[in-house]
Amino acid sequence: MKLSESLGDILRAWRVSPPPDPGFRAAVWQRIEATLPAPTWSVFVRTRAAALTAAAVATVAISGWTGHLVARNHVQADRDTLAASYVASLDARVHAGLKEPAP
Amino acid sequence: MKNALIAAGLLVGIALVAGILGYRAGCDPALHEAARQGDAMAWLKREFHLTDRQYAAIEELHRTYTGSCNEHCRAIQEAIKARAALQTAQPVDAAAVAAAEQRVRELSIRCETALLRHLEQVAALMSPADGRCYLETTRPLVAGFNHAGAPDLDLTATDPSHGH
Repeated sequence: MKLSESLGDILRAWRVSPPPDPGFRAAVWQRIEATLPAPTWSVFVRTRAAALTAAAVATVAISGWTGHLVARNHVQADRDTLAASYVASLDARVHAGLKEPAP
Repeated sequence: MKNALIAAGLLVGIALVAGILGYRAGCDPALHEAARQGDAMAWLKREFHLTDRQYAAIEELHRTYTGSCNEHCRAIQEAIKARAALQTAQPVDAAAVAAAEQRVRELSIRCETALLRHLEQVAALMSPADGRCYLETTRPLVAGFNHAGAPDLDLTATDPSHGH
């Protein structure tokens, strides 16, 4: 009786103070998720609908605008080429070799 | 992980399609074809919204100008030849070389003046807005040339040795 009382006191006084682990919770969830089957495509899309929609809209806007800018640059280059050819065809100095065309 | 890769692949596909559509919306196939063929008159008609009547009048003006352009060209070539002969002659006559230099400069200025006047005449045949735009495009090229390809003005009344 005395022994059990003293054991009880010891157990009541016993405290465990493990060092704090900030990654503990995440590690537990990781281990839990590892045991679950991979989500289907529809689940994946449903759970990230907002992010995927935003990514698609941004992709369309950026790519479309980039393509448009490249095309406008080509158009401007064509314009410059034609304007230079046109004026050169009318400039006697170019034909006479007095004015060296730029490379 | 697999789903994320599929999503990334889809986004790449969307980017390609959007880029191609954006490019097609921004490009000008007719202008590109004119540039490829060096067809400056096709560019002129399209760029400055010329009616058939304006186009014919400008073509006629160009044809007329080509005659004086040929004369300028010949005069400049002769002046350059004369200058070169004086520069290589022994002994060098500095005064004669300077006079020849002056002659080349004068002809160059005369040519530039005639060209600018011609451009103004062409602009006058266009609508005021297009004429302004035409002069803004062509005038800077008269001073600082950037010859980027053979033109095709289809002006048949030219001297074959002239280079038009």
